[in-house]
Amino acid sequence: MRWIEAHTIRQVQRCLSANVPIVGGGSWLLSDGSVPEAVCDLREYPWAQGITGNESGWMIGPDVTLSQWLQALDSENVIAEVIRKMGTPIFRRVATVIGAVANPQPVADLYPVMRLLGADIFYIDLHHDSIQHEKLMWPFRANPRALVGLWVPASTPYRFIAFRKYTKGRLTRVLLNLGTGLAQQGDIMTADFVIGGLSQWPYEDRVAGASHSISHQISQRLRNQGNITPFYQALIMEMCDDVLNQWEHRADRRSEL
Amino acid sequence: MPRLLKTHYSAVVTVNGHVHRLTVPGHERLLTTLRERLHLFSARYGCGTGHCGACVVLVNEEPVPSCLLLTVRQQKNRIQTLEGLKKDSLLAQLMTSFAEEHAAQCGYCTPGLLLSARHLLKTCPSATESQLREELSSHICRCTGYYAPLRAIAKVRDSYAVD
Ligand SMILES: Cc1cc2nc3c(=O)[nH]c(=O)nc-3n(C[C@H](O)[C@H](O)[C@H](O)COP(=O)(O)OP(=O)(O)OC[C@H]3O[C@@H](n4cnc5c(N)ncnc54)[C@H](O)[C@@H]3O)c2cc1C
Ligand code: FES
Ligand code: FES
Repeated sequence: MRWIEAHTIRQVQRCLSANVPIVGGGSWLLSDGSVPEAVCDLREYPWAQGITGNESGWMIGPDVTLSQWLQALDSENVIAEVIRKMGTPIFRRVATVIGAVANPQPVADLYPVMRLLGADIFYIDLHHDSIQHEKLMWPFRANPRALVGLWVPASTPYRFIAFRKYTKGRLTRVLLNLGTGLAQQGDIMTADFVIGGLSQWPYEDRVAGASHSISHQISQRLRNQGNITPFYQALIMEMCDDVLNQWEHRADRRSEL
Repeated sequence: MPRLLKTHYSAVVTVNGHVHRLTVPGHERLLTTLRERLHLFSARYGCGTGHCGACVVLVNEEPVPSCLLLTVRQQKNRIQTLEGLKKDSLLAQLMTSFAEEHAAQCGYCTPGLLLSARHLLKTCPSATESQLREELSSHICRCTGYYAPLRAIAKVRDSYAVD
């Protein structure tokens, strides 16, 4: 296997045009003894390295592991909640944040919350001689591309973002995950949700209405989809109701204060 | 320039304080290097996919699965295996406690468990039960049912005085 350390846009583009995969932590790409002919390593790519955080958000470089970001986050932060639910501590010390958002596997845990937070990806592709950026969204519009940075804004349009995940066991395949963003204006509540595990790409939707009707509306929307089995509908509704409960609890606490 | 043609690389890796100059194929995992080139057998092959923790070693003091790491990428890192910690007092206490609590049966998972436990107690000397469980979740043990290792580690935590 050839191991290529890319330091310039041109070098990255040569790898992309030769279909050389970019390697992050390698936990997926290199697992189970798989040996690509070559890999392109961006860990030393001199654009964004490490974690830069300020009041407006986080910039994450391709060298940052899930574990490093977890340590830098406030433990109450929803991103920390997601990362804590990903794999095990030894896995999180190897897998990178960018590897997790670059890898559009059917059930990927970081994606739903990154979507709700409106994260941007910075990337190199074959069509531009400078680094491009756009909102993170699967499937990627331009392929192939090398991600060199992830920007996660600190402010969000939501009052509350929650994440739920269903696996049969800690080490077995994830079956389903759900990211939900709740906003409220007067009596009208909006719930955006991103669900991984139903099809190849995460399913995104929005419902709005009086807060007591939200659960019913989501349930209706899932039924109307036609292709979601009753088992998955029930699973999603249990997660949604749990999130709505948590939200109500918070709202109560706030009004008490 | 990117190195486009090479398939073997010179790698200078520091393991247990010793510097080794090796020539390894680009795809070689650290676990293979440790076992087959350096004859350090404490790290074991279990799954090869980062799931079982049998191959855990310390890279810059942190427990990581060596089956997922490329040797060529370890040049700036400090690698430690159980063999390199013979004089470590915390590890000695953990080993005694494992023996007393019957926390090792076949022993296949034990080196990895010991390294994770040592790391946790070093970074978080008063680790809670849930932190212990979280750290141990990196490891699969088919013999003990996990209670004995948890007990053994908690016992050391309760008696371990940080320097
Ligand atoms: C033990 C284990 C447990 C896991 N548990 C979970 C879990 O709980 N939740 C979850 O969501 N996932 C889980 N995964 C999957 C893991 O999150 C993904 O494999 C993730 O992509 C790992 O990141 P990495 O840095 O190791 O990526 P790599 O394995 O290096 O790469 C993965 C893919 O992303 C591409 N890629 C990586 N970096 C870039 C880049 N900068 N630009 C463009 N493409 C890039 C690679 O070419 C490859 O196709 C688990 C995997 C393992 C092995
Ligand atoms: S052999 Fe490395 S984690 Fe199982
Ligand atoms: S003691 Fe046998 S696998 Fe753990």
